[in-house]
Amino acid sequence: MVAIETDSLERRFGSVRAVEELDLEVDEGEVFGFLGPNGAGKSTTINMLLGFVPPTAGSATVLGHDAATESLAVRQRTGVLPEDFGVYERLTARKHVRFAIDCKGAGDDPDALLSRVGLADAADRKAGGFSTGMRQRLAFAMALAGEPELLILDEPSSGLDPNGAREMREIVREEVDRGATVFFSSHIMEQVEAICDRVGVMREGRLVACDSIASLKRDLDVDSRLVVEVDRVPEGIREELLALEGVSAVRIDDGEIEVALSRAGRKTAALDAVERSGAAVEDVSTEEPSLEDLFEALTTESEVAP
Amino acid sequence: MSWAHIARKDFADAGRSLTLWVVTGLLILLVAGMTAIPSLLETEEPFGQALYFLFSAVALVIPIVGLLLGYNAVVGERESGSIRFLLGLPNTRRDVVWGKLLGRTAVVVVASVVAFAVGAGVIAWLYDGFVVSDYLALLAFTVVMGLVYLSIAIGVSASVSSRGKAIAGVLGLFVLFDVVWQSVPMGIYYLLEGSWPTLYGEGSLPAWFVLVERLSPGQALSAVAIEIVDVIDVAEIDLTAAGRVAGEVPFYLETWFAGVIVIAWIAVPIAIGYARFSRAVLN
Repeated sequence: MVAIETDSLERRFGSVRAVEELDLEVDEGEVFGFLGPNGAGKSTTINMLLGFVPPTAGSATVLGHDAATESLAVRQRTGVLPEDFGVYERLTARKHVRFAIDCKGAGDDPDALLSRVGLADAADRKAGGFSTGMRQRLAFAMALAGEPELLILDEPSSGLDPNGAREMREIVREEVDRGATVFFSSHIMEQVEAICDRVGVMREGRLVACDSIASLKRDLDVDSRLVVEVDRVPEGIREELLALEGVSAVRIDDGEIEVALSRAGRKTAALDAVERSGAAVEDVSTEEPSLEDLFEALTTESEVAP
Repeated sequence: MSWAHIARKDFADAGRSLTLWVVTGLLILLVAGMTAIPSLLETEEPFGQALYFLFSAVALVIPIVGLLLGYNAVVGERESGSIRFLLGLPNTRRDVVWGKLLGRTAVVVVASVVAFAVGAGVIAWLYDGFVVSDYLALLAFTVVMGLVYLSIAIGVSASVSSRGKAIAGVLGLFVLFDVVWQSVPMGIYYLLEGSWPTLYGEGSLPAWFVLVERLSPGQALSAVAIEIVDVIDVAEIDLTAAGRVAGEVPFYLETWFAGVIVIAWIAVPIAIGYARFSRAVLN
């Protein structure tokens, strides 16, 4: 079963195309990371899924309901952690959660939800005095009300310290174990790998990749790096290395030659070239592409190596 | 019944704000103060006089109270971002507008009831002949008046995208309909007749004049109020349509029609506000 499906979804604001030709499918029960830099169209997409913003073209279906025309049914079965939300300054944390439970027509215990997100001690405090992290936890507790089938979390870890982000990931896992689908957006790649089954990466309003992280790493020619420490940097080594097949960039820095390889299998050839030049190799290390490299490759214009 | 949850939350929120207490305090001072005036003047029919003074105070203050309580009701949530909670939960935009109107009306009701209770104490202490039904009718009128101005303010609040625009809209409507409106029928009359009309005491106004005048919410409410508060015995001049227009009073100048105008002032602003809010892009 499909939890979220968009079909050529588009939203323009004036002449700006915030989201273009978006075809997305999120399966029931999966954790889907919706990634991209700020301004890539993630929030606009979520706003369309929730009925805050109508699409200018295309359509979106959430849990079998049309996102634009059957928004109430969508939101009845979805827990939402919005981005850029504001709390009711004068109401306590418990009143916030109670309100969410009432609107959902659910039977949860507000204190139980607050203790899940680590706010049990602050239940009677007014939300106006909460830190960003506490507000984020409060909003998360509200999203959990009524055991939603789908959780839509917009930048859930913003404002959370690493510990808070870890706790949030644990709750996400618990929710998935319960059978929920989780769709969350983030502009930070690191937080994603641990919990996501699949990711979609947005750039300038378009979905530029959609797959598991492992497959993305495999498919993408993200450079791995070979770092060779030498006693002296031989003349002309840069040109020699760049002439090799599979070498995309060379950086030379004070007895250290860094070779970016678009194909990991070319390491030996590069190392051979350095040794042939007469320099004594003191140390060799390699770096595999990190998630950040992957993310960067997907979300920035590819540059031609100098 | 989502609007009921929103109304309850809104009332709880507003009830913890300074606004409610300032409003209540102001009303208590006014009600107690104004009802005490006839005893100082040592007039005849002090109870009727007290009601009349009370009505004057209410007519002056309630519009401002309603507009102040309402103008930020919806747009405030848009600016703070809490609208994302409201509409991320299974509430429709209609629920939001209704819930706000209901929640803020409850604030007006509480403030009015408390103020009128204090006023009743003052009146019972100072005067004989307390007519409970008249007093309760004036209380009901106060709430209806609050509802009219809340509807106008919340209608504006739901229509616009920023607090500044809401303030401008509410102020503009207030100045147009409650300050300068009187000059509209006057101007038309001057253009038609080449002279200024006599507003009270002569019974020479054309019927249309009073109708145009009554299209303003304040005037329509006053037309209803003079039936409730027995000002005919109190005021020295006849304020009713019968005493102001030449000839027979047409149906549209009867009190029930003023009631229709009042209802329209409740229904239309909130409907326009809802229509605009339902199409708003909340980005």
